[in-house]
Amino acid sequence: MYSKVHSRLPWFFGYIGEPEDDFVVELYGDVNFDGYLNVADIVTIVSYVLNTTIPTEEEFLTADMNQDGIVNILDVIQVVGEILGTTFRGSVEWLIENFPELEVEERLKVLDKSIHFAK
Amino acid sequence: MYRWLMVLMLLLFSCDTDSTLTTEPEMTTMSMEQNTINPGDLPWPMIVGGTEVDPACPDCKYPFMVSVQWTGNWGGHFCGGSLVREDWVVTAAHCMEGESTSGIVVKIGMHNINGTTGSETRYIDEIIVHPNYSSWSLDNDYALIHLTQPSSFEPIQLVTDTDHDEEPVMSTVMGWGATSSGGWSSNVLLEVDVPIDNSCGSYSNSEITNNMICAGDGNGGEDSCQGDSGGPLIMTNDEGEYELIGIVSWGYG
Repeated sequence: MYSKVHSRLPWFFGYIGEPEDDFVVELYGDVNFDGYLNVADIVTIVSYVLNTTIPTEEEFLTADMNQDGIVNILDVIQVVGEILGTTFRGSVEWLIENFPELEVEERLKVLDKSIHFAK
Repeated sequence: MYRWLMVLMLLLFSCDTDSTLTTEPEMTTMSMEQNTINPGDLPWPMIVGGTEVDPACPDCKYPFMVSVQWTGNWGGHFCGGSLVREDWVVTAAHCMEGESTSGIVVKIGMHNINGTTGSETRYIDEIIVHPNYSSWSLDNDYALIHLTQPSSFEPIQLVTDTDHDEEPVMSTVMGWGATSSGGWSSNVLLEVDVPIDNSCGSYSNSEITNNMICAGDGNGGEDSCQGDSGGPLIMTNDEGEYELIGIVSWGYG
């Protein structure tokens, strides 16, 4: 015979604490969790890439558009493409114009090099 | 009558005497008369008909598995437990009867009960027995042990889905307990699959409370046994994660 755990969960949790729920991303890129993708989300993700804002774990997971475990320029380009309907190149040009401090092309070059070295 | 007693012997939680997979050289068999034991006098439950856990620690198939041990000259394993938080172990309340925080330690990451490689020893500073625990009926046979230092081993999550209580699913129980009723305990961690049985076989309704769950092989030969008390009854959820669904408590045999 076994003591059934489920019937006494409140007692356990009263001492050991409730389990942390695993966060599930509902809409990638929606880092302000308003249910929509818009320019405000781009601004926030850009701030993550520039290290001017530190994302929470939930914000980080939501900002990781390509789900590679990293939030970088590729995620910014992807979220711009989703919002504006632009191509990769079109998104890059839009970012160069609107977020010059992001230095998009420089970041892409570094990314290319890192891929090259990884090989 | 003989047939009825045999069924009682073989169903659910009897420490059966199937020796095909046991590791100890000598075993004693139980007598029929043991089926007349009152719930309050129940013997400790053991792994019977099990197999050695693989991979063993330090690669730990079951990193949450805990050995609860006495300290001092007469020390050693006496009950199992489960790490449910980095600093909390759940075990059976009947394992904690008469025990004090200074008299026991828990060991995590063990495979050979006599070994120490890769394992952690943790002292405890609090024992919490369920307030409604009954030493006679073994209802609410739950206890929590608080560790003075957190463990680095991965805890198991508590089951939160009621479906698992009702499905006739296969579960797994593990421990270092006896490999036959009244027999020798195992030096290495053993595991055995046991089906959950909501009918609880031939156990009477008066013995089984809503806080108890029955699991065992109706054909006999696979079970938990003395020394496994307090250990985990687990199942694997849809994500392939282990969940704690029960704590080894009691059984005839």
